[in-house]
Amino acid sequence: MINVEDLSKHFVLPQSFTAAIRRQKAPRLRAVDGVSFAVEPGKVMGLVGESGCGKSTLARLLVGLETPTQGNVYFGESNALALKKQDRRAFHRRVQMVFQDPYGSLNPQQRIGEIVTRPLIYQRNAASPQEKRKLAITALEEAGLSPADDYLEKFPHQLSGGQRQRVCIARAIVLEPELLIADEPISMLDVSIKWGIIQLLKRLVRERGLAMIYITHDLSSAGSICDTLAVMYLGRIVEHGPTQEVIRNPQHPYTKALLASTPSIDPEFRRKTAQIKGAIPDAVNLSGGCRFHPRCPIAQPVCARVAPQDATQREHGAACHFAFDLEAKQEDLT
Amino acid sequence: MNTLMTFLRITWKSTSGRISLSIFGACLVLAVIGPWIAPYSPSDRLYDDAGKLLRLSPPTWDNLLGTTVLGRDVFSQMLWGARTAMLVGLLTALGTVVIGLNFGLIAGYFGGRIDAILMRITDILLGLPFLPFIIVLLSLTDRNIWTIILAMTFVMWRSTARIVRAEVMSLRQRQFVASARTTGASDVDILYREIAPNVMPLAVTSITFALAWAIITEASIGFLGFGDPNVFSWGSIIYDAYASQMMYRAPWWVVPPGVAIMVLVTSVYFMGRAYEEVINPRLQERM
Repeated sequence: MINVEDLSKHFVLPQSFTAAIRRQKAPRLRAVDGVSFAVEPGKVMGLVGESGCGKSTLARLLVGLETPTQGNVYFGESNALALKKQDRRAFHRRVQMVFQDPYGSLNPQQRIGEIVTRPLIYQRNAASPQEKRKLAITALEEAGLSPADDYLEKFPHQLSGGQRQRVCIARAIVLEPELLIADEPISMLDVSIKWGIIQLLKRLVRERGLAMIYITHDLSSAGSICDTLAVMYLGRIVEHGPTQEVIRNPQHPYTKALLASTPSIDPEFRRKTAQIKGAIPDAVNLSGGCRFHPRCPIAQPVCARVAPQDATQREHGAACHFAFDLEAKQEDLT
Repeated sequence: MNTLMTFLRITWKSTSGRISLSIFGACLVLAVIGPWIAPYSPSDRLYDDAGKLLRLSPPTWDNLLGTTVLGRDVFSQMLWGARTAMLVGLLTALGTVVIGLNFGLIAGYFGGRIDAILMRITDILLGLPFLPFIIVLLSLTDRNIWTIILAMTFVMWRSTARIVRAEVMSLRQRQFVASARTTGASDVDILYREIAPNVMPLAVTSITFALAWAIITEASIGFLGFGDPNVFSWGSIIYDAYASQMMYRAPWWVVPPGVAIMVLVTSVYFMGRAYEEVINPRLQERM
């Protein structure tokens, strides 16, 4: 089980010379700000949100490409950050990532066979070259590239986008990780290929008992693969719960807006307007209270003053003063 | 080794590449076997049947390229000169690339203070005037061929380091570097197993430039009379002709080394060019 507790990443921005002389505090960009959640083996948690909400920074934190400003990650009992300090390699073996861009994440100078065996080499795996090759073949075939012999000697540019993403997945599973992070794995692929990749990920989670965090801005694909959903807005999780619950009965106004903006295949469908207005504010100068209040259609004066409770405390929770019992609370507060 | 094979394969594809590779290959063969096929020792004074010194003999069947004012065989001197040119060129190019590649990789990858220190060193070297610096260095030390190679390598790696660094700075931002890191690759792994193979095409191009420059510079040093006095080089053959003031009376003495330098250097340039055109197809469109 993977537990994330109060994880934050603040980037310190460059400061002007005069501000530095006046000893002002350098501005900070709060990319991820106090995020907590848990994922169990064999389960998939979806992380949805618009661009710039901190999804990818969260992924980079979990996979160890960034060091958190605050908070911690636990694998079962062991503390991932402490583990990372002691033994970077062992840490990286347990968490693997599939990146969004299957074109840029494969080294153009390496053959597919090499790409998939490299993680074993970097892990200083004691297996002989033949054994490593066998492991690579198994991983490739499990990722749906069979017979693997057809692919081993090819270069990435000879493969299609979907095949490359399968190579990325094979590279990630060859180390048998406990947690797999998929950062928008299908957003750059053709529609016809997306489904196959989703099915592959689902099967891996089921058969290998992996925990997976599936990051996307596309609610429809999240709905088909995730067991739980976490909706992120400006570095915070604003709503969290079982996928069906969140989709059928969204509580946070931001989740409602996201769901309403998902395109429907039904040509007769006319969505209700009155969506959220404006763009996502920058995460540098955050106002007090609820982070969503400047754009919220149901904002009340209290929203600008008091921060709502944490969404991840309950099985299905939302960081909104008016969640679950909207009308009653609204009357109370006004 | 792999890189060398790729280089030969790619260069062989174009006509100019084929011609220049053949010329360069021929020079290389002559440089290796030259001293054995040379008809005379390059410093032997030759006499005719009457026992008279063969001063400034025009080309004959016995002396293919004639003789010098001291009665030495120009053809034999040319063959020995080919060996010098190749030795100096190849060793300097190799040294240049080994140093420049590593400097560029480390500076570009780690950035920050390491980059600042390494790049200030190259900046200082970039401020040195190339030929005068080498001449001064040679007049302070031993005038032998190894000093020449060392001095040229010392100055020439600067531009390779700059080019490689720029490329590495962009490569290290690429996603495959992050992917390698998430699988547990160390900095050394990433530098030499992930990034270095991607800068090899650039390194190869800079090898050819270094090679051409080294040959020209060695010839210039020889022509200016600062070369190794114990070694025959094409530059020093021209210097001897010039010093004896016989340049106009004995064209067979000065034209061959001049043409040889030009042909060899041009072939090296075209080799690099042919390779670059394939690696960077945009260059072809502009032609």
